This record gives sequence, structure tokens and C-alpha cells, in this order.
Amino acid sequence: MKQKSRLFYLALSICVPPIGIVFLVALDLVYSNENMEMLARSYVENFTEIMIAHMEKGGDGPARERESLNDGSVRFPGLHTYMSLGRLPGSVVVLDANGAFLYGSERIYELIKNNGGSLPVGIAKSIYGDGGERFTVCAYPAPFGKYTVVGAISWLDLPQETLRFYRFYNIWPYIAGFISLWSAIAIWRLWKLVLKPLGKLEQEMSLLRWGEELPSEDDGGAFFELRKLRSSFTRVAQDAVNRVSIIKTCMNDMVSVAEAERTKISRDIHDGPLQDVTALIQRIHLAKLPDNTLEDTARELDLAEKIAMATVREMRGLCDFLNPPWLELGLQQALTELTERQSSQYGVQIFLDVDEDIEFSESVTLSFFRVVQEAVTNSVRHGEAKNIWVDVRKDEKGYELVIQDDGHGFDMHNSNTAELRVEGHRGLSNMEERMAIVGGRLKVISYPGEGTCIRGLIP
Amino acid sequence: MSINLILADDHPLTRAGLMAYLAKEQDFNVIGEYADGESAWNGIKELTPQVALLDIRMPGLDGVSITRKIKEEGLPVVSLMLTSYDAQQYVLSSLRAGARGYVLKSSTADTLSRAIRIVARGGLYLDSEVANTVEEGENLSPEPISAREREVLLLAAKGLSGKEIASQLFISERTVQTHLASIYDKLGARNKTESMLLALKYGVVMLEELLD
Repeated sequence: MKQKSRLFYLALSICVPPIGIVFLVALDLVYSNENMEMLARSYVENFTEIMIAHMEKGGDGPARERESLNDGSVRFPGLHTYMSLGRLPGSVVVLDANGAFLYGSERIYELIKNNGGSLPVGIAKSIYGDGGERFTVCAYPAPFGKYTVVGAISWLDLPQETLRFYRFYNIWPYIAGFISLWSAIAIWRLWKLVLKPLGKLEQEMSLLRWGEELPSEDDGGAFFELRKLRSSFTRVAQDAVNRVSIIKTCMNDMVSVAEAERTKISRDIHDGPLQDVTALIQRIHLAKLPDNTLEDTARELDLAEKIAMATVREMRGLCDFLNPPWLELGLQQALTELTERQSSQYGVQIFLDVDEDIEFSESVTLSFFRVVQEAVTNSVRHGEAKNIWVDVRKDEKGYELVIQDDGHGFDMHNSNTAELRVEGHRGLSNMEERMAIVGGRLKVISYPGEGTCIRGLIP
Repeated sequence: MSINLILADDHPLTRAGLMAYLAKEQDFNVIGEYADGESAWNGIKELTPQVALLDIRMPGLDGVSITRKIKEEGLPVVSLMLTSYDAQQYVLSSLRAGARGYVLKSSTADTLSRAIRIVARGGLYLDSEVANTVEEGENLSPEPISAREREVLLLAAKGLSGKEIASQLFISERTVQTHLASIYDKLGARNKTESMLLALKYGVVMLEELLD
């Protein structure tokens, strides 16, 4: 939360300079405008006074009025003479008492008429022309007659060097507008590309349920580094999801394997010892029948004894299968015992060769034992092998277990252990897991018609 | 009058024991002996024995399936199930399939003979070890159950859940539970299946009522 507010202040401080610039420009604009206004006013007031002075000097008084109407000559020669010299920039209009045009610039007269016709006497005023051109005008009553003399100056004609600056004055607001727009866009993009996606990412990450969810798809709205950051997060989250799903699969496997084991053990007990003991009870019942002869009883007891012995054998076999007690004797003895039993059980030849000096911990022995047990069972059951070679060797690479058979093999490319496991054939992956538990690995090489070779290696 | 029998059991030792039991009775005539369901079914079709002694669990066809086939084909063969342990669900499903009784393989020769004679006469035989009760219980008539309780019991035996029974009888699920508890109490049963078996045994319900 604290970090977030810092980010906010950072963004705010970035905003300060452009806002300041815009403010200063606006201030300057206002002041310059006022100065210009004042200059223009004083100029136009002076200008108009000068015009009136020249009218007086040139005798443009009411005395001349009568004759000038008839001969078509200039009505205000004094003023006309001075204006013709063109010494001062500006225009002049002379109006009669009713405000009708008498002399001067018709353009300015039109301008005055368009601005309401009447002008406050003695006070300069700014008005705007058609093209937005700015004029300052000033009306004075002529002291010698019932005329009103109006002086006007276009701001573009203002004489002073400093006032020429006004020629560029129109674009100043645009420059200021452009700067502020530019800044606004920059700040907006900063917010959209950095601050907002960053905030969104932060919130998403803090609310994400790891191992179950992924961050939402990259919507392309953030800057490059942030998008990379998001995709990195997505990778990490994906990893977590994968991990969880692997754990779930493993747990599922473990549970279903355990269930399958229990089912198998239950069935084995039902079909084996339970039936044997039932048969034993039947024989005892038969031995106890009241009308038995002595021979009958002896025969039934004899049978009962045989059945009891078969039961013991059966149960011993079951115990051996569940947890062979001879594992304690070490790898060589354990494998010898196992292969001898399997050899007679399946009717196959098993050639065992274990290097003399190999000593393993119980867990490694158990792993090798189970791999051999599984491999031999598979060779017989699936490969219909007749001969199986089991070798355990020690070399510079580590300990190696090789089980080779002469069965008909299988096509490795058409199957992988993961698929087989899903289909319920756990043989290969069981062996792989057995090796993995003790830090080893398992390799299976098989081609159709060429037997199967299984290599387990513990470095 | 002798009784023609076939025996199907996949375990050789128990089959030999049962054969020895059957050999003791003069009027039992074992006309077929099978180690798996398929051949037993073929034997039943071919020989049409009066009574078929069938192991519930067998490789291939199991006893329950054979019983169902007998019923479907309308063969005049009575099936008597043999079991190794008292799995009441197996027993109930075999009764639903049409079996007329069941006997534990570990029971005495006398028990087996009696069961065979009862089912051959058209009776129903339920082994006392499976429907948990004391020997003299066979003659003991339980506290009579009400007509409503009987209805609930029958629906429960057909495999309906408490909820389904409630909706079918237009009563609340809680009332169903109360009825069931009362039934258990009266019959001395511990669960639905056992109460069903005991009800059959005591003649509270008829086997035919179980079959749809």
C-alpha cells in the first residue's frame, strides 16, 4: 500500500513541470495581452489627438464645410495632407454629429458600425475585424465643430519593435496547448502502460491461488518489460500448476495401486487359504460323522493333515510374495532365491550372475529385487521368454543391473510408460520408480522379435 | 425319491469335500461336477438337474449369473448357492437372481443335506451363519411387523434409498428411518440386508415378493 502511494506521488511529480509551464505561458499571455492593450490604447489616443491637432492647424474647422461640399475637393485638407504623408501608422475616420461618415477609412467605419456603431468618447477600445484582426480605436470630439474623430490602429501595424512580437502572438496559445496536450498524452500513456498494468499485475499476483490458477492472458496493454514480467510470472504459476497436478496424479496412482494390491491380496486369500481351511473343516466334519468306521476316520484325518500342510505352503507363498524374508540375506542370496523360485514357478531358465563383492543397503537390495521380480514376470507373461539372464555388475560408472530375455519383445515406439500407466499397466513405470527411489535410472531396449533388455543403473 | 444334483466349485479341495458330503446320502445323485461356470452352465442345460449347487465366485460365469440364466431360460432347476464367507450382499443378489438358498461351504454334511432337501421341495434355505441368528431362532417367531414396515422393508430390499422409499410411500425420509429402526429391532438385525434375510427366514416376506 505504501509502495503504491509512492508510485502515485511519483506520477504526480512528473505532472508538475508541464502543468507549471502551461500555467506560466498562460500568465505571460495574459500580462502581455494587458501590456499590448495599454500600449495600443496610449498610441491610439496620442494618434487621435495628433490628428485633431493637424485638423486644427490645417483649418479643417466648420468654416470650410460649406464650400467643400460644392467643389468636390477634399473636405478636411489639413488632415488629408498629413495622412498622405504616411508618417504614422493608423487610420482615421471623421463622423458628423449623427455618427454618419464624413471622411477617412471606410474599412474602419464599417468595423465601427459592425461593433455597435457607437463608441465611448475619449476612451480607447479594442475591437476585432473580420479575419480576427485586432484593432484599438479611440473617439474624440473635435474641439472646433460637431465632428467626432476616430483613430484606429491595427495591432499588426503597431510601430514599436517590441510590439512586432505580436505577429507571433497568435501561435503562443497553440504552443502552450500543444505542450500541455503532449504532456497529457505522455502522462496518460504512463498511467496506461505502466501504472495501471503494474497495479493489476500486483493485485493478480497477490490474489492468485498458486498451483490452481494462472495469471490472465497478456492483453498487450503494458510496456515490453512489464509484459515480460507477466509472462515470467505465468511461467512460474504454470510450473506450480504442473507440480500440483503431478502430485495429484501421484496420489491417485498411490491410492489406486494400494487399492489394487488390497483387492489382489483379498482375492489371493479367498481363493487360497480360505478355500483350503474350508476344505479342512469339511474333512473334520467328515471325520466326525457318527457312522464312520475307524478306517473312515483315519482316512479323513489323513486327508485333513494333507490339506493343512497345503494350506501352510499356500500361506508361506503368500507371505513370500508380500514381503520376502530372505531379503535380509543380501542381494546375491535374495536374487538367487527369487530366480530359483520363479524358474520353477514359470518353467523357464534363469541365469543369475551377481558380482561377489557387491554390498547394498536394504532399500537398494529391495529395489533391485523388485525390478528383477517384475522384469522376469513380464518376460514370461508378455514376452513368452524361455531363457532369462540376470546380471548385477559393478564398474567405474556405478552398479548396473541387466535383465535380458529371448522373448518376442515389443515395439517401444508405440508405447510410453506414461500411457501404459494410464491404461493400468504399471510394470514398466513401477520399475522406473523403484530405480528412481534409490537415485538410479532405468532403460528399456526392445524390438519386436528380438527380446527385451532392461538396464538399471545406480551411479 | 432320489435327487439329481450338479456341483460347481472351482477349488478342488472344497469340491472334493462337498462330494464326500454328498456321497454319504443314498438319495443324492450327483450327475455332474464342474470346476468353472461355463461348463457348469452347459451341464445344467444338458442334464437339467433338480438342484444345482453353485459356488458364488467362480472364474468365467459366477454362480449368480448362472442362477439368473436358469431363471431367464425357465429351466426347472433350483439353484443353491455355496459361499466361503458371509457376504450378505452376495447372498441377497443371488436371491434376487432367483436362488432358493445358500449354504456356507464350511457347514456340516447334515446342514448341506437338509438345505438340498428343503430347496428340492420348493422351500427356501438360508444358512444361519449368514443371517446372523441363534439356532433355536429358526422356530422363534419375531414380534410381528406392521404392514407399513413391511412395505418399507420390501422397497429397501429392492435396493431403493431412504429418499426414494420416502417419495414412493409419500412419507418423510425421517419416518422411513424410524420404520427401518423398528424393523431392525423386531427382527434382531443390524442392517438393511440382514433384516431382509431374516425377514425371508422368518417368513415375514416371501422370496417372490423380492423378485420384480
